[in-house]
Formats: sequence, C-alpha cells, structure tokens
Amino acid sequence: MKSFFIAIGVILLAIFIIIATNINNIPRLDENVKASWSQVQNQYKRRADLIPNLVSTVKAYASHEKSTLQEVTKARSNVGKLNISEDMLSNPQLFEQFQKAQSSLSSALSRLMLVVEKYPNLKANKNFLALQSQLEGTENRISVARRDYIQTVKEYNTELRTYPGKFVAAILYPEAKIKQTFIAPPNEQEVPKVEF
Amino acid sequence: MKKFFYYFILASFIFTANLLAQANFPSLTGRVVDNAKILTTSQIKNLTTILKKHEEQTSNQIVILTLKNLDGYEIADYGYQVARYWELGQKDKNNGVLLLVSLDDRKLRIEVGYGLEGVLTDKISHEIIEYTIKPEFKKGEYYQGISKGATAIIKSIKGEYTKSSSPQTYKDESFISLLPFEFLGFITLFIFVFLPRIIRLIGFSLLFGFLSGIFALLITSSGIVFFIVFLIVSITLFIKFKNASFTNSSSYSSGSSFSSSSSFGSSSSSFSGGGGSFGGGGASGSW
Repeated sequence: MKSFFIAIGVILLAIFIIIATNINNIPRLDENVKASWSQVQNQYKRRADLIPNLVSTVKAYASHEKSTLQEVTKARSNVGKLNISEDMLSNPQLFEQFQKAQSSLSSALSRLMLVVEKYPNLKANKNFLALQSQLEGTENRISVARRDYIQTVKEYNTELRTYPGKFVAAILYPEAKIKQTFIAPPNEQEVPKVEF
Repeated sequence: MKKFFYYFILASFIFTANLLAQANFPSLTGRVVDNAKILTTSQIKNLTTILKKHEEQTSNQIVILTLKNLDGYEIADYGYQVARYWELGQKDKNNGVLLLVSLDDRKLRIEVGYGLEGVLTDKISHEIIEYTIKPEFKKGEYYQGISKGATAIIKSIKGEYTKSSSPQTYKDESFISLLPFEFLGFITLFIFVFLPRIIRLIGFSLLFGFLSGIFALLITSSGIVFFIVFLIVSITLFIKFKNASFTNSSSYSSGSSFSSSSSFGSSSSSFSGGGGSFGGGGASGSW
C-alpha cells in the first residue's frame, strides 16, 4: 500500500516536472515564429521597394514591353494593399492570400527578367546590372527568410501537437493555435519557359 | 496504470529522440579552408595573415572556403548554411564574410553577414565578383583572384566596426551555466569535450537522472522509486537540454565557447567563429 502511494506521488511529481520544465516552450517558440515572420515581411518589403527603380530603368530601354511592365506594377500594388497582421499567421485564408499575391509578383518579375534578355543595351547598363544583382540578392534573402520561418513554425507546431507540449498547451495556453506555413503552389514549381 | 506510465515514458522518449539532422559541412580548420586544393601552403599562409590582421583591427571575420563541388546544393543555399554553421562574425555584430569557391561547378559566392550587409551590399559583392575575381579565375589564377577579392572585401568593410577594447567573452546562456561545474567538473568536462552533441545530451541527462535517483533512494530507500526518479529526471532533462540547444544549437556544436575560454591550451593559431549569423546577403557568380 505504501509503495502505491509513493508511486502516485512520483507520478504527480513527474507531471509537475514536465509542466515546469516545458512551461516556457510555447511562448518562446511563438516569439521565434514572430521574429522570423518579421524577417520574411522585411525582405518582401525590400523587394517591393526595389521595383519602381527597376521598372523605370527597364522602361527607358524597353518601352514597348508595356504589358509585362504593367503586370509587375500591378502585382506590386496588390502586394502593397495587403493588410498584414499577426493573426494572419493562424488564419489559412489570409495567409494564402498573402502567399498568392507575393508569388504573382515573383512570377511577374521573373517574366520581366526574361523579356530583358532581348535588349543587349539594357543588359550592358551598369545601373541595370546593379539592380539585377540587388533583386537577385533580395530573392535569395526571401528564400532564406522563408526557410527560417518554415523551420520556426515547424518547431512551434510540433510543440503544440506532440506531448508533453500538447498537454502543457491544453492547460496553460488554450489560445495557442497551429500556425500556417509556406507551401509551394503548383504554378511556382513550374520552370519558366524560355523561347528562342 | 504502471504499464501506461511506462508506455508514456517510452513514447515521449521516442518523440524527442529523432536526431537533429545536419548536412555534412566541412570543418572550420582555419581562415582559409582549401578543400579543393588550389592553393599552396605559402599562399594559404599569406591569406591567413591578411585575414587575421584584419580581424585583429576590426573584429570582422572573413573566411575563404574552396570546394571541389557542392554536393548538389545551390551555391546560395550552401553558402549561408555553411556560414551559419561556422558562425562567422562576432555574436553582437554579425560581421562575418565567407568567400566560397566551388571548383567543378565554376561558381563562387560572397556570403555577407547581417551586420555587414549595409557596407558590403549585394551590388558591391556582385561587382567584386564580376570585375575583380572573375577575370583572374578565367585565366586560372585562383590565388590572384581570391587574394584580390579578399582585399576588395576588406577595403569595403574596413570602416564599419572597430575592435572593442574589452575582450569578447561569450556567455553561454544555455544550460551549461545551469550545471554545477565544480560539482562534477571532470566528468562533465569529459562528456562536454569529447562526444557529439546528442550523446552529450543523453550523457548529461542520464548522469543527473542517476544522481537524483540516488538522492531519492536515500530518502525513500525503495528501489522502484530510484528507478522511476532516474527515468523521469533523465527524460525531462533530456527534453529540456535538447530544447535549450535548439535555440543555441550553433554555439554548442561549433564549440566556440570552448576555444574562446582557451583553458585547453589551444595554440594561438586555432580559429573559430564568434557566433555571427547570416541571412542570405551577398552575391553569386560563375566563371
């Protein structure tokens, strides 16, 4: 009988230890997600800021590529209109909207960069080359930021969905929700076609 | 009930035991890691001297890595991952730069740490690659290209930081500070130094679990209690440590805290990253 009570006591102690050692995990991981999300937004904003300059440079050399240029401008203004807030991260619709807008800007930009191949004068322009390298660098930063975000969300969601995190969350953080992460939509996985 | 309890322990152990996968990056053997073998010993020495002098003046860490190939990685992907893995740059400044050359793919990249993105911008990195390094590489003059490139990098980042007068100390806020070193000095150090991370984590957990178990045994003098306490403490500590090492995993894996404490008599030539981070800044090119 005595050993039974000891066993119960030990189990209670175990529950207590599990909660005590994991009590900070969810807020900590949540902060990580927020930080990496700001980085994603930051880099997307940086890309959007590059676009007016890029468009005006291309326009000077390739003025009759109007439709491509317009597409980029339009996609950029769509991105600018998005209402970004933090609860978007746990809202699938808003998140998808954001992702869609950004990926349509990405594809408009990559079409622009393909069109540009036809204009050797433009391609020799130093200003354009600099802009191109900046755009390249920004795209690269975006992909790094996205990957970091995916990683932090994975940690957060794993904590929420596995034990002992699930158990702790149910008791202490009932408002914590699974967060959305990036998935490559089918049109992004296609390789852009190059026509000769 | 007891059976359920054992299952629970087993399950939580399995959940946490999936090891942290890490790509196989080369080890940081010095400021110039010439895995493609395109530089001679004296050339490596020259470059190292230049880079070392620069770090002494400004605390910026520049490292040159040459590779045969990239194992199927994109160079931009590989660059930031290896630079993060090595933690180039100081922790509070993120002022590391990696010049990466992959010989077989004929690709190169300048990877710039967060703290230097403002001075060594994508545009400048691009220009260094295009107009300084590439012409030399095309001629097959790898040393010339690398050395001129390194000089150009140094020139562009020279003014950004100065070495702070107080010596850099990196406090590890992770669990290392939680451990009573004086209590188990030798064993902890032994585990800490010689074993890979995951084994170290398990080692620590078991060790402290065992001690807690002994403690419980002394109080209750019951073998079952010893066993249960041992299991619980080991597993919870393991989970806790693993989480702690997640956020700080890098400072742990590269052992930077160790070489900076220098109590192990590491010679002055040893070199390790200072804890800087990277976010994909820089530029790539091919020749």
